Amino acid sequence: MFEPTQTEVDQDVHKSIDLFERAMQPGSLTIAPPEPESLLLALDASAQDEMSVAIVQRLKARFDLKVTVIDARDRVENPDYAAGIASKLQGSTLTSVEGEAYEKIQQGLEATGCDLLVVPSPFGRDIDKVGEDSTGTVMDVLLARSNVPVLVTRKTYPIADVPFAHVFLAMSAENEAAPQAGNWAVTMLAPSGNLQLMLVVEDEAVENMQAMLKAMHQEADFNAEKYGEALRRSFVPLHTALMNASRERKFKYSCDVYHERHAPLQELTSDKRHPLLVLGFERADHLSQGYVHDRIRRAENTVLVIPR
Amino acid sequence: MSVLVAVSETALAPQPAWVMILFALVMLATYVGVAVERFHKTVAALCGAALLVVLALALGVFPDYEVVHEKLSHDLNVFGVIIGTGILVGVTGKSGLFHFLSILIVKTTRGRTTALYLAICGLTFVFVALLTIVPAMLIVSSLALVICRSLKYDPKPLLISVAICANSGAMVTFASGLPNIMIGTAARIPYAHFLLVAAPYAVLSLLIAVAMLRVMYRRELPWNQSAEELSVLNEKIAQFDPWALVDSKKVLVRSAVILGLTIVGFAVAQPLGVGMDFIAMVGGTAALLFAGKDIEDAVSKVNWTVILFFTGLFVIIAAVESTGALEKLSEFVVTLAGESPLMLIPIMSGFSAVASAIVDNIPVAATLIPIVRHIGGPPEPLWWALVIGCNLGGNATPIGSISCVIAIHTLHKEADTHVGWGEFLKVGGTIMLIQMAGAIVYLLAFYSLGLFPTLPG
Repeated sequence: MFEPTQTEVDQDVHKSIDLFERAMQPGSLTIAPPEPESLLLALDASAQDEMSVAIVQRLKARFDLKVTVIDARDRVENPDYAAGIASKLQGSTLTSVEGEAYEKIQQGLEATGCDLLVVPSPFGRDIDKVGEDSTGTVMDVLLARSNVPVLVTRKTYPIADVPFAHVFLAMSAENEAAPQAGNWAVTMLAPSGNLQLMLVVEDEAVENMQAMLKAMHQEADFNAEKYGEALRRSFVPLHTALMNASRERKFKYSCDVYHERHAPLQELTSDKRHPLLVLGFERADHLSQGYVHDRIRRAENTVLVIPR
Repeated sequence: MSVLVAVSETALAPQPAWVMILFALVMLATYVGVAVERFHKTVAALCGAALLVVLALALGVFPDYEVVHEKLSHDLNVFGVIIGTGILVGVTGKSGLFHFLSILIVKTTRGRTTALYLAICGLTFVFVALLTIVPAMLIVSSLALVICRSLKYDPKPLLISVAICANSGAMVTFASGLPNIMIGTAARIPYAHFLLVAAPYAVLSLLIAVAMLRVMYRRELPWNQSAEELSVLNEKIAQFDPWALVDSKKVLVRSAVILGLTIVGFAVAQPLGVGMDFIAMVGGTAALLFAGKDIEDAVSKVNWTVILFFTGLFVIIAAVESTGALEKLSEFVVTLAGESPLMLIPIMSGFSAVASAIVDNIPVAATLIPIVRHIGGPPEPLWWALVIGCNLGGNATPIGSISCVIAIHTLHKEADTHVGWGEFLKVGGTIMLIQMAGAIVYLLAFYSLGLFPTLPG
């Protein structure tokens, strides 16, 4: 419209070049959503079980899943509790062995060879009392050991017949579990639902990067916007694969960069549309571990963690 | 209605010759300030405006300060178009729509150099027509660079071609560039008239440019490719995935629909009895409502600098015109042409083109608009001469048009390639001369055959 300065031209041309270069990355990633065949539902007789059961009911109807129920409390006071829920879900129960709750669940996973674990967090505790302070020991151990995706139920809310019309796949840094998380996000998304790839720019991550770059180059110029652009570039293969999957499978999809400083990320914690939050959990990556635990602690809605 | 019409309505008494000369000198000094960029051009225009308002009030050219408000109030429509289209272009640009279309079109070329070259020139033309020069140039010049890097082509022929084709695209519609908005508003030219008169010559001038550039750059690009080379390039081009550029298909589709409806709105604005500014503002609002993810960011992308520049420029023109100086200049032009429209058309086309090659085409258009109004006779040929001259004149020199400035700067920064004045004059100057010669023939033919659509009263 009017003559921009040379600096503005340089910046805008660079941005545009970056954008075009995104289109040049060979499409190495294809979304292949797994079809789960069986799941293990771990009960703790807390109020959250109601949410877990409601979700499992709907997943069973959708995927024709084989459901196994285990009462994983340290002390089982009512032996018929799990059987009653298994009957309601037309599933079977698993006789649990002695031990800690996480040991029982772990053994249940090995015994059933299921594709998905549904478990409340915090396990055996009142979520309203524990609040954002802890995900609980059971969750810590399960995330560290489970080889199957873990669907973590949090607060109870009314759930649609076909759940997860909104799925948020959140990534804050490079994550080796991202492709699998993308696959599972598509699996769990309701038909014609809305999947959003959220690239989250965390203040701390930006500050850490700024400090490191400054240490190497005194004049290094790095900010949250550049971090966001770097995130976009890192996730181009996943974004492109999800965009192409959305066209083939007819669901809605978008990718956005979220700056934690500007938006409190309500979508990730207490969105009233009750989205499913999908997170990739890279065990060898401490940052990924911290991020997943933090998100589960702060989440009010259900979270699906894909471990790798 | 524009300030220029308002001035004639105000019918202020002509001033003594020394006042006319004084005001004209201040205007010229401002233009020099704009051209040499000693100051920021907006600061230069605002300084010139402030000085002329003081002089006009002190010397009685303006009977009171209210005259300034009255004159500026008539230009709100220009500001409305700039703000509305600025928001719309910002939002649609951010949706990735034009980047997406670019890759889609490039993929259809399958790596054939001629097809790729024509596609990039064509994209430039269409994008400039829809988006105006600066946003379109930023997209297409970066596309050309990325393709040249990928295919190991010399970027110079492509970027210079893009810069020159952009100026043809800038005259296609009412909203394709600031000179068009200014002239179209002042002369109340309907959007459809641009499609009838300016757009056909825009296409012709594009064909002239592409044909000449193809000959001039016959050795710089591998026009003749072997089957093997073609296969390698095709493989590279096939790797491009346009969907990687789109954050949200919903926003992409909405942006395309809103942009399309706004263009239709421009075309039917006159029969609907509304101004272009209304359509532009509705389009901008719809973009914010349905496709804008970050409203604050979209609004901040409006070029407020240009609005301030225009404010200063309109005040300057109004003050100078109020002295009667521009009317005198018009009489001189008419005398020079021997009162023959057949002479006035080449004079107006040629002068506006040469002036636009040297200084910014916005002050050129702003100054020549009141002169055309005062010339009398059927005004249509001269308005179109002004539209074509102001847009194509910029092809002649490296500083004549913002498209050339961006292309040359980008070549220097991104490809370490220097394009000197001599080299550019040889290419751009020659093309501009042929294009303007063709334009004069085109306008004279339109005039002789009575093809100019009559402007609404």
